[in-house]
Amino acid sequence: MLDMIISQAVNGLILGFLYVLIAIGLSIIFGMLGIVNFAHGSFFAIGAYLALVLARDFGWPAALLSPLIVGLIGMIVEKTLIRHLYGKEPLLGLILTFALALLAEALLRLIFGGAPIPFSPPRFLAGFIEYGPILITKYRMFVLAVTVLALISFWAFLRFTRFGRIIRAGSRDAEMVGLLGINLPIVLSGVFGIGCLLAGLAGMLAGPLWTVIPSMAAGAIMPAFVIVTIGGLGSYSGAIIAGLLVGLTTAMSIQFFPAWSGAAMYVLMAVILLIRPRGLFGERWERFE
Amino acid sequence: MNTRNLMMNPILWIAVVFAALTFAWLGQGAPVNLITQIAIYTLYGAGVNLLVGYTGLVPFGASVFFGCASYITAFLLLGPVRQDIMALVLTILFSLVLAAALGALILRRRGLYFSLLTLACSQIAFEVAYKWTAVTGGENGLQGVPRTSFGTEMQFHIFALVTVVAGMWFLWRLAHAPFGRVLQAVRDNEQRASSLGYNTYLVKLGGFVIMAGIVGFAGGLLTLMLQGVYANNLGWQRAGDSLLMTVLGGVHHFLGPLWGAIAFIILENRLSAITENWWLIFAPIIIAFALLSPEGMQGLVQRALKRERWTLTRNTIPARPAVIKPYESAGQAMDPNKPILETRKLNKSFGSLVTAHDIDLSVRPFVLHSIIGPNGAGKTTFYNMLTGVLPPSAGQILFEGKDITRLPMYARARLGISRSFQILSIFPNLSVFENVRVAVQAQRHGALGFITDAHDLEALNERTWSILDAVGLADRAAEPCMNLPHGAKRLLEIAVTLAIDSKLLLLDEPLAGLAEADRHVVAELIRSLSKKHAVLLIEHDIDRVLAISERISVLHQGRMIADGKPAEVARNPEVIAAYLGAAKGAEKAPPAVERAAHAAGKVLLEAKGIAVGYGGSTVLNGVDLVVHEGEAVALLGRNGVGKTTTLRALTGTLPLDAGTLSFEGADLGALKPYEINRLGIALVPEGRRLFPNLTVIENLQIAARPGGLSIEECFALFPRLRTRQKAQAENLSGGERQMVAIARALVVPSKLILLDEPFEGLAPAVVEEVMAALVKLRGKVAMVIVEHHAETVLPIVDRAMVLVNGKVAFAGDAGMLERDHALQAKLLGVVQADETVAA
Repeated sequence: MLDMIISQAVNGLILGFLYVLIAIGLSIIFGMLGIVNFAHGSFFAIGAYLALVLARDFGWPAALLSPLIVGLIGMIVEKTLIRHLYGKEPLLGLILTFALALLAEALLRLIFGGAPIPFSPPRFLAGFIEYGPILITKYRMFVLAVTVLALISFWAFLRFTRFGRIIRAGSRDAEMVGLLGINLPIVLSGVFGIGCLLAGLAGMLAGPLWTVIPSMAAGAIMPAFVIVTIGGLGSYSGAIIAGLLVGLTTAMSIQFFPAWSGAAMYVLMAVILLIRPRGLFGERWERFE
Repeated sequence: MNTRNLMMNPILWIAVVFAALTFAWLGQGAPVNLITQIAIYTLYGAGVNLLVGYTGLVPFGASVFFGCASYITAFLLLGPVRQDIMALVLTILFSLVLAAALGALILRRRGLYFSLLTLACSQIAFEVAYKWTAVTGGENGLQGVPRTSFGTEMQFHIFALVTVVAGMWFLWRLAHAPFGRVLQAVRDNEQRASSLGYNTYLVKLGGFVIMAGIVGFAGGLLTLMLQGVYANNLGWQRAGDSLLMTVLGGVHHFLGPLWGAIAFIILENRLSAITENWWLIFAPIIIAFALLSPEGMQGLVQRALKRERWTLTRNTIPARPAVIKPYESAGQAMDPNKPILETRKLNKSFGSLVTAHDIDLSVRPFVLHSIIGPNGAGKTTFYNMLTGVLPPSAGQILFEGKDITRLPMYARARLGISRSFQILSIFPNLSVFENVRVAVQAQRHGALGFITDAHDLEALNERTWSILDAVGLADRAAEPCMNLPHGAKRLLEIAVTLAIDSKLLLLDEPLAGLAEADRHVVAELIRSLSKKHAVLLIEHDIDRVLAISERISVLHQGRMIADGKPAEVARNPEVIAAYLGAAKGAEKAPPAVERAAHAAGKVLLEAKGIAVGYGGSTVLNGVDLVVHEGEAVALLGRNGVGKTTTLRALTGTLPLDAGTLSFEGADLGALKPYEINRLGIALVPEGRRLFPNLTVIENLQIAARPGGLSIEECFALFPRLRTRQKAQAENLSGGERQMVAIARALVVPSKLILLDEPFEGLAPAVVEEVMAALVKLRGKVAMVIVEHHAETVLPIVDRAMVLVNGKVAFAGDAGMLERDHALQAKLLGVVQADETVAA
């Protein structure tokens, strides 16, 4: 019984870190651009499909390009579409990104068909790691390591680089950032691109774990919304804690109350929001109220 | 009803469109089911639009009501209730109860949180429906739901059409009924609606519950149509369907959901015949509409017809009576000798910052009583305590002898305390008439009434016309409020304030942003209103306040320092000191600096005749400004004369309405703020605007560019910052924040620094420290220092400019202004105009 709990906990942790990766991207886009990106899950799905194609045709190292390409697509989307929504009614942003999500899914369906495509991890990551009674695939451990590394590097990027400082400053007062001589429009494209890159990375990693199927976007966007809301809009540590909480809750409910596993995180979210209106670490930001 | 009215009746349109579609489909021999579905989704969308278009709430998961209702109908018909119409009635009841319970919780959250919570609800419902196979049939859903009253498809089709049209009729009535009109007021300006005495939480809950009833009925109809029920209607992608349809058709149009549903369902039907992937075509259409026609399909047509307006309600107003009854105040019977409003030892502190200290005030009826005080005196805090926005830390507020200290805003409004807002707070999308009428309704009728047209309530109309006439807006009653010029909007703001049968009018800067002619009109109106009400006025235009008030109380640093007749107050030495700075007498000698003659230098910045305003208001009107290389210029003026606005124009955050701006010969007019900064103009903004989540050093690093001061040099200038460099900006003291803000402007290679009230809220010792730093910078970089205390800043600048009501009233040598105390007092102090003449 305990073994089962522990290995489910590890699974929950892996799931949680993947979710965090998606949610962080959603969160910085939201904090800086004020746009709720319903299409965020699509960038996750595109990341998975790109990785699959690149790995199949050029060998697995090529798959590593997938997140970068997704980031680039994100920047193009910001420049052509999202840009026109700044300062407009939030409803339009919701509708546009929602339509974008449906379009992306339709495109994937058109190109790759609606059936799931098998995507196996590279040969050197096949097999299991055994630790006492706990049995975990090598690939899962790899995903855990990469997500943790990615989160640490992204944190360091926000903390120590010039662009990271601009993102943090801009999420509080974007106009003032412009008044300091920083080219805000370019920064906003960059932020959208980086957010999408993170989603693409999560997609690349999740490909071999989950099923690569056009509708996989929904499996990413809903937990990301829940995590961002539970963690508190704009809070990095909040997103990590909320992500792990959601990952563990989901994994445990799969084990013990499989019928409830889908609803578990929403119940968690509803309860937390009713107790703490702005999430665990949320601060009062006028523009989200 | 004449033919034109009949033509304009949207219910008729709906009936005709449905009938036409039905015949068209029958003519082709196509299944009529599709048209039934359009009708059902029209009602679904219209229900959702009751929240989106009418109430201003965006539910992303209204599907929770649609989906749950469709299951309930199925359960009832497969189980205990074997009669379909009965089942529909019970479904509506169920939806109402479910919405009341969910809404009571969810509506406590606003904005995005509201949208996401509704989405979460629909997802929980989806998971339950999908997984609880034993009850819901899971993925396969439930089939074989009996349709007991309708033998044929056609019979059901007609039933659906008739009930949908009836539902739409109800919504159309509701939009014009007292309740629906309050919903629209809440959409436009919830805070104002609350200040008028509406309990906006209950109003929104009411809207939410009605939405659920309508959507639930649509869900029940769908079950009957399909004779089954499926979980996918609850899935996240379908959750947005009703919203997409509504936006596609136009959220600000009553018929929007109809056009949206027709386009959506027919396209889905036709496209899916060609391709499985119909979103491939449909999603770009939606994206194009979101970007190019935010008002949807109907908006597109109306734009083509050059009749761009919302059609959520008829745009008519009741007929103007032949004779408008003169305005009567609710306060006419007040005892002029008894104070109507009193505060006793009122205190407010934010942490260690005390913004109100033992304020005792007593306001009598029929007296025009004003409160003045320099920036940061605590006027706004005091006002917010009176209106119920802020709870006092200690003390009492009495209205007509009753303790109202803890009453919420709307309850105070009901007692007869009515407030106007400093920033215009009216209902922009309602007509002028409706703005006032909805306010009258608050006091006389309330929010209830769901069927009768509110414009048929004659007593309210009569009162509305009286008020409009009293403020001089009766001739513009039918205009949309949005199109009014700024002066008329101010009058409307006051009219709305009057409308709730107020005894006491609290007016917060009613003259802000007005041109001279409008100031005169509004001031006269206030004076005449004070004959019929108690009036408490907060205003920056000191000359006007002294001229019209009968009694003046002066606040300074949270204390009441004077209270009496205008002439007495103007002579009070404490008041003079508060306005002109404590320099005279107080031995805080500012650093003596030799004034350099920079005026001969090269012209750096030149503004010619600039005019700037916010949304139609005029703040600056023809201002000229020249700054030479290395010159320090003080920009002086009382509160609210346009000093900060000038800086906003110079930094490119506000567009110029007229005039030209150039910097070293380059035109600044079309440049973005960051481009202007890169030319060499740096801003030290009002309130510092540091990034609170960044450390001191990060705040500097973010702005630093080669050519500016190094961070080391900044620390040399402000030694105190060196020790605090790792601290987060949110944890700094006010003085430290100001130093960081100045340093942040210096690390940029700037030729001109604009400082907005750099000494505001600082302790005297810190003021000296900051001032010493500015003196060191003098000559190296040009500066424009905005100040309202002339004495503080005049000794360290070369030239001074004084703004009065958006115009330059003085420009010249700083030393001259420093010596001319009479001129200072006239332009910056508290002096009654006629007294100066006499002196």
